[in-house]
Amino acid sequence: MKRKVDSDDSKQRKNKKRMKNSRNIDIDSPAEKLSVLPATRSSEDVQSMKCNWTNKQKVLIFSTRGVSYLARHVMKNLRALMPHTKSEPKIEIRKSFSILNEVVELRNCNKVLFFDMKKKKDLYLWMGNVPDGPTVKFLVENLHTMEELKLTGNCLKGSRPLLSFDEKFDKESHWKLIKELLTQIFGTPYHQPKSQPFVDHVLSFSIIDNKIWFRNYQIVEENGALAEIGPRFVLNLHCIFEKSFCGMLLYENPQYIAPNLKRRLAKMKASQKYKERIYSKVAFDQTKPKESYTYDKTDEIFQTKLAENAEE
Amino acid sequence: MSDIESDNQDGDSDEEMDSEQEDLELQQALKEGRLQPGLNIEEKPKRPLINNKKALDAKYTELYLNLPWTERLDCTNAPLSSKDAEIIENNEDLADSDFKREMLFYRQAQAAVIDALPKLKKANISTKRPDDYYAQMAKSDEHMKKIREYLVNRKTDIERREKVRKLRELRTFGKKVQQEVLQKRQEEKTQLLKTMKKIRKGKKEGVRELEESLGDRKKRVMQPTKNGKQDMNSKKRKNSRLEYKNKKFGFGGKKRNMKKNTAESSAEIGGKSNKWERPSFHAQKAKKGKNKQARPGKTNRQKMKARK
Repeated sequence: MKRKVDSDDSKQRKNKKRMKNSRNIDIDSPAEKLSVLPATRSSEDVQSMKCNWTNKQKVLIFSTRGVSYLARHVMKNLRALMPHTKSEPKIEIRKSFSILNEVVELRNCNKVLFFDMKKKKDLYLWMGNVPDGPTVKFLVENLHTMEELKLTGNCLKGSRPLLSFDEKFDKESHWKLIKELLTQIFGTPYHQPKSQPFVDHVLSFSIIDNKIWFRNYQIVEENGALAEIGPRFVLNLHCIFEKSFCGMLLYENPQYIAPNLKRRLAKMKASQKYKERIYSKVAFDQTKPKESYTYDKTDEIFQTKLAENAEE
Repeated sequence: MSDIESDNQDGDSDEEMDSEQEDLELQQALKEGRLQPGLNIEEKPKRPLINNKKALDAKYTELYLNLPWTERLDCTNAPLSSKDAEIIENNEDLADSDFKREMLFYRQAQAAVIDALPKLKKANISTKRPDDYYAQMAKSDEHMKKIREYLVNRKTDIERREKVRKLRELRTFGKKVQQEVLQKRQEEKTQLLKTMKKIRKGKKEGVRELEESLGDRKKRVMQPTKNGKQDMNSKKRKNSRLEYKNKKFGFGGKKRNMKKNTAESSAEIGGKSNKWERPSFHAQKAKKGKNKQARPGKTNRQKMKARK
């Protein structure tokens, strides 16, 4: 028995030795390769940390439960474009948004893009600076994903974008605040480890009709030839809060109409046709004359009864 | 926080209440005659909307990240001015007209690029990746392939549609020409009928007119045209297959109206009512006998020999 056990042990040792050897080889190989850089590298890999990465913005992009495929795809697109983002599983929010602060802080992020969908059709985007605000709430309109649009442009995954803003952003204080927030969220920090060392696309934000229009262009040539990449969306400003997902209101957009109200008004407008018809019917009944034409009453003597009726 | 909650949760119930109240109001208004179809009553906001500029500015200074431009890469600029400057001026319909709007965005982004590229070069940040730098792209190759296919398909589609449109135009033009020709013929016919009427009445003008109108035709009939081909074309289209078959097998005349009664057939007395009818049995026999050159029987032939 002892011998057997011994033999077993020795086998195990041998195995361990083999394992060690193999491990050693594994460990050794990258050291050997260090002199020659690998020919290809996945963009997900983290580059060497020896750099002056000072602007450490990290954005958490996630959503509530019950968002439609559109929101999901746009989130995916944004994550592909922005290397300084992190993702979170969908969250179910019943009562208060204050949980979000904790979620964001747990993921070590200081900015948040939070998608919230109501009634499976109205998409809201919360943009926030997490520990101490502000938070901006937008209604997202005209949403198109990168996959859906037949746009010819393409850019490196995780390259740094130029941010182009409309001049109207500097004219009013709320737009100015939003501009700063947008630059901090959408701008990829210099030397961000996952980012590519090129600037090959432009994110343009312009204000038309009191809404922010988002476009993404590839820089095709140095002279300014561009090709659109996608995604596209329009942000309709609703309100700005002082703190992150709490605090007092700093601004409310007077031109903002809630989508519910908009739908109701549209319905009312559509029902106007029916109402008009009914009104016209009532009006006709009211103005209808009781007599078709006036006649002399004495003429009634000439109206004779039929023989059968006369007998009765 | 409380603000947000109340904002989000009470929205629906508020609206229902509002709609009920509004209904009552509307009914009253209708009774009093204030309400007429097409008249909208504007709603007034419940409380003045908040626009706290001081706090916004304070928040901005608090949020502002004072970093060198190479970290931020933000540019604020007006869209690039060009020949299409009017596009930018007409601000009202921008949101609705796709082309103008997209042009504006494009120009804005272009302006940003033209502004920023020199700065980037100064800061030694590369804008173009070298050709041998391979990295994952935002859109996959598969997706780009799909886009290319889509573009090619669309191009061919447009070309095809244009072709079809041209054909259709040609066809409509051809129809017009045909109609004109038909009208001309009709006119000629009516003219001829008129002149014929005049002739019947015995007017000399009629004869002259007829000669005038027929003059060309007479010439045409008398002098066969030099170009025989043109005449062929003006006639019915020829069926080349049929022509070939006729050439090969010959054409034994029209088969049409062959079985119809003619003067001769109706004048025939007795016999067959129909020339296609089979002759009666006896008639057939009789015919047989007549037709055969009667060869005498054996005994008769021997007798004939003996006589000689």
